[in-house]
Amino acid sequence: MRARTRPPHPGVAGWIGVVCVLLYLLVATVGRLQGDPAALVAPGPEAPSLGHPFGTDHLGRDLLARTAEGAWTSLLICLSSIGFAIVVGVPLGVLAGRRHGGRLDGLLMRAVETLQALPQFVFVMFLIGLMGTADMHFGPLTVGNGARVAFAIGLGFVPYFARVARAATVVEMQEDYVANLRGLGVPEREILFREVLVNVWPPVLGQACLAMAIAVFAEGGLSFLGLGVAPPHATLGNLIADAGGQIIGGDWWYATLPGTVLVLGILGFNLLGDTVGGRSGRRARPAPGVRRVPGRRPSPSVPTPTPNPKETQ
Amino acid sequence: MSALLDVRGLTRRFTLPRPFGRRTAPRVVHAVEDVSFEVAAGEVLAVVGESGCGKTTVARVLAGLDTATSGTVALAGRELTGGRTPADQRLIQLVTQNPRAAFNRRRTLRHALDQPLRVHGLGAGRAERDALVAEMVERVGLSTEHLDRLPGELSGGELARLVLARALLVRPRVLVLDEPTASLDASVKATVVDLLLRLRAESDLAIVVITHEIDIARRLADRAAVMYLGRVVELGPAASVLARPRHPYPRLLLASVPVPDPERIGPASAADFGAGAIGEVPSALDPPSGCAFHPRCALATEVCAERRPAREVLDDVEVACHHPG
Amino acid sequence: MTPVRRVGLNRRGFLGLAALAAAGGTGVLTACSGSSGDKRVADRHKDGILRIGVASAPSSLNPLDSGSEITRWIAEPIMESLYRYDAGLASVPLLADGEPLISEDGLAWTIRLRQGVLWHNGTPFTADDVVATLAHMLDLSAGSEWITYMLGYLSRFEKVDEHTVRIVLGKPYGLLRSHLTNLPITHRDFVARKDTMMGTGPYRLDTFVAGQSFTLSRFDRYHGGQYPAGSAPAFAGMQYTVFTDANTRVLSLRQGKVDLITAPSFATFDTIRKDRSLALVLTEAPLDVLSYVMMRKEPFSDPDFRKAVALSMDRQGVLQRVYGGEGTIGQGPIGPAELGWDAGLTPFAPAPDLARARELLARAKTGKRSFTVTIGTNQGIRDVAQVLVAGWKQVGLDVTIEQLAGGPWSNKWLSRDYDMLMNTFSSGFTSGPANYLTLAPAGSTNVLSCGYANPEVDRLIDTVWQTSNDAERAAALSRVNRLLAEDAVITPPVHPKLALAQRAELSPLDPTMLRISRLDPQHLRFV
Repeated sequence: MRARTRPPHPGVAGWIGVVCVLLYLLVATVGRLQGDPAALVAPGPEAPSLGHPFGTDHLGRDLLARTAEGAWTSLLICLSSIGFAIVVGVPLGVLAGRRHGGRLDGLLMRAVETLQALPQFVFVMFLIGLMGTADMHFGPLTVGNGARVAFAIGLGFVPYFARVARAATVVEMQEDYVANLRGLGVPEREILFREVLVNVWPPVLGQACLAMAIAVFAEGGLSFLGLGVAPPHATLGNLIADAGGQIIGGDWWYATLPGTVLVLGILGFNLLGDTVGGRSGRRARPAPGVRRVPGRRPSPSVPTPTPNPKETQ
Repeated sequence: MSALLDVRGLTRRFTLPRPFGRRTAPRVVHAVEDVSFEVAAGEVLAVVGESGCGKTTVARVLAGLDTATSGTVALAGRELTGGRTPADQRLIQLVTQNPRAAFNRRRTLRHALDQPLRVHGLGAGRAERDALVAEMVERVGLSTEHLDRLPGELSGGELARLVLARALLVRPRVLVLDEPTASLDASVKATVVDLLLRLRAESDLAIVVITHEIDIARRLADRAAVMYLGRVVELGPAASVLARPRHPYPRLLLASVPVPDPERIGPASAADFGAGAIGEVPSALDPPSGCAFHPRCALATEVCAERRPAREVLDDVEVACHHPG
Repeated sequence: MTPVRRVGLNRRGFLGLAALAAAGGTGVLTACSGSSGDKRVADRHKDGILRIGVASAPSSLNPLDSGSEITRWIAEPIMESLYRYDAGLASVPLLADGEPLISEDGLAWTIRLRQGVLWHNGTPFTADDVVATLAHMLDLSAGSEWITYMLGYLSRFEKVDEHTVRIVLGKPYGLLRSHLTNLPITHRDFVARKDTMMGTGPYRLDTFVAGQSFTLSRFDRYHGGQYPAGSAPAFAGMQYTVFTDANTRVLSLRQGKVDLITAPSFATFDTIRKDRSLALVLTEAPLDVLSYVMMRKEPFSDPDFRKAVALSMDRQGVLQRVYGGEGTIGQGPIGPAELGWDAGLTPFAPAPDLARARELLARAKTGKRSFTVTIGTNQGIRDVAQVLVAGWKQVGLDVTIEQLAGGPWSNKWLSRDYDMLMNTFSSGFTSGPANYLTLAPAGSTNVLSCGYANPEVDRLIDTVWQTSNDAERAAALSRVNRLLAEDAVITPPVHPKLALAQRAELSPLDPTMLRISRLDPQHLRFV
């Protein structure tokens, strides 16, 4: 049975975030209609015109097409990295939070803290350094650098999601309804993954949006440094890197336009994340006409296994 | 009539974690000590007492949410051990104090009610389970339109009834209700009490109602037990125990219940509460010696401080007191 | 939970500031005109120090081990070889005293050494140093590329006396003279050191900040202090500063912070030309785009495929888009500044011949239509590769670009595990006005062999290396060039011109020296 919640009402910042993300997606989609991003369509760099709304780059390729390719590539890498981090981190966090203070909890949290010892960007660079930038071949399967960047960024985010999931799980496990479900004879696995998890998702999703913003930034930085996707494939980062040298010749469009798209992405996800995350844990509003007892903060009516000596009813 | 639920010598002690590094004696909380009672099918037992007397712990142990340190819980002659199978788990259901917190706030009531049926395989398919749920919902006095809502959209009274419905759906033999009316408005209390009375009449469940509201207990219960600091001090028919108790403690409790008197207007005074000051319940960590009530008891003598009173039968009740009235 | 949020908020503010700073900063930088530069230059020249801006930092400071142009440019005023190139690019003695005594059979070279020469640390230059240098060359573990020149030819070498060295060869080795004109001689105690340079040249390496700057000062006891009149070096010192970003390099030149820069990017040529306090220097030089295909495996083992790839190279596109037209269309491996250049050899048109390429592909036995081209990490070769890939796409070839840094790229070359390999390389440092090393992979028995087995080419390469007759060498080179071009073995897309930029206050760079990749800073002066 699918859980139903009313969608959160975004404030002004939230709407700006939505608009930014939509613009980003617009460029990414519309730009693909411009044709092949690797095709040489002009003899050299040209300013924006009707035929080439973003102008052309230093080799004469349409910049809108390349920006679109870059925006999509960056988006895919970031989505898959966040997806990977959630798939790995959330179950880890839920299992750790299930028995707060238990052995698994301690083990997992120590591992997570070790991962977090390095600043995330340094950690990702370290991983990429280990794996190298050349394509890796595992039999018939070729793993290109894009996938490895996604994996490295994702691995860097596993601690964040594990912590969020764990914190949310710890809180949920102490709620009355969990004890009630146990009393009803619902198996532990179902309680954890069908009931508690439903309440863990909203904070995780909020973090996911914020993490998305950081991932876009990180991927841009890595590509800028040449550690990301290799040419001729574009990502926003390596477009901006190539563009740096052109500004002095007066070719302003080359760095500014892809750079703006990058900023839109980061800003948009950042603002969206604030909105989604801020609404986690909120209950649905009552339907009009239904009288509601003044809400009470649910107090634990069943004591925890090591109770306060004063309250042992 | 043989008892459906038979509790013998139930004891639950908690060992508190010692402060780190200090070599002190382990501190033990005697939450429940040597509690015994019986409940027959179709009978309501009220367990009464103030906070800290161990009632909720008894409820949790009965429902399998906690394991007794010693003692037994037997259902229809069969002992239920600490680690219960799901089938056994169904047999004694606990309805907790706060109905709103008893449901997952992000799941519809329909899901919440369908879930226990599905988990225990009651009802062949979706359609049949839906029918069972609908029937139960109507039995508690609500309609199926309530089912597609989230808990936050319903009132406390409605939720209280749905908690009951959910507990009943798994076909328990014993129903334990922990403060079923404590968080409800006066008018809603009445509907819940009526519902419970109907249950008692229509089914052959053994019902244990834990409450500190004496008047509710009087309305619902056939028999009553009074607990103090983890022990049962008096047990017997509700008409006796809740009207003319022998043990000083329930006498104190009853005397402190204000009786509504339309003739009297103006501020209340201590004299209205009779029987002198009530005092505080001592800590369960360090209970008084002998009879646990003796520091607050008007009838206490030396023997009360030395020896714990054994349970004796006096007319139709059991009392644990050196000087029962 | 909160750590992520806090970072998120910080990033937002940071981003805003960064965007503003980037836009504004670059604008401000660009707006900086050269008028303040002149004054700054005049002030700066009072200390007599020549400042050169270079594009990258050397990974090793040992000029014996590393043929990278940046190491060699820094080494130019510091190190000397047994012979040097004069104004006509003939080889004349420098550390050697007079011409070498070569035995009848050509297998023993006795070289007398100049006396009175001092190392920068004051010790005298003797035959021990020459012997130590040669020994290091033959040391496999040193990883020096010179070893490919020496292996198989040098039998032994020995010190005859304090100022005489004898080299004994296994085969006649006419090219040895060229190698000895390019091989820097190092102090015997410093041959393996990568952290400093010890030489006999007119300037010594004083201090350096690794990766950033290298400071040299004039060595006044150069060759024992015997400067002929008027030929003492003008500068009191020199400083090489690393500016990895091409923009910053050009800006520094405009602002007068440096007197000379290497590798200005093509996008900045117009800016430099317009500025009258600057001069753009473009010369033909032995600057190669190395271009090898592995013929021992598919798809390049198939000659039709190989020729199709060579025919569909967009040479014109590379020349125009990447080098702004400054260079020559490539045919075979030998370019206009290299011995053996044949201007009349034109098997390939500037524009790709797509029709013929498609025909050849249709005829080819191999079914593969994709391969990987492994390149270095500099911007120039990256752009070249991208243009070529776009061209190859038009005949249905799917090419992946793989970028590797210097060391891994060389390893890939040695391991022979590549499809196509490309990188830019300044051959002049090791070959003078030629590019012998570039041809090495065409030899079937060479350690770097690309799998090509043509007995005539093998014979010609042997001639190139063994003959002492310059005309014979040039003819052999010319013929090899033609064979390698027509057989599509080594077909670089272009021979780009060497680009540099200097200030007008500096005397013009010597084009003859540039033709052998030398900046020759010790003969410049402020004007």
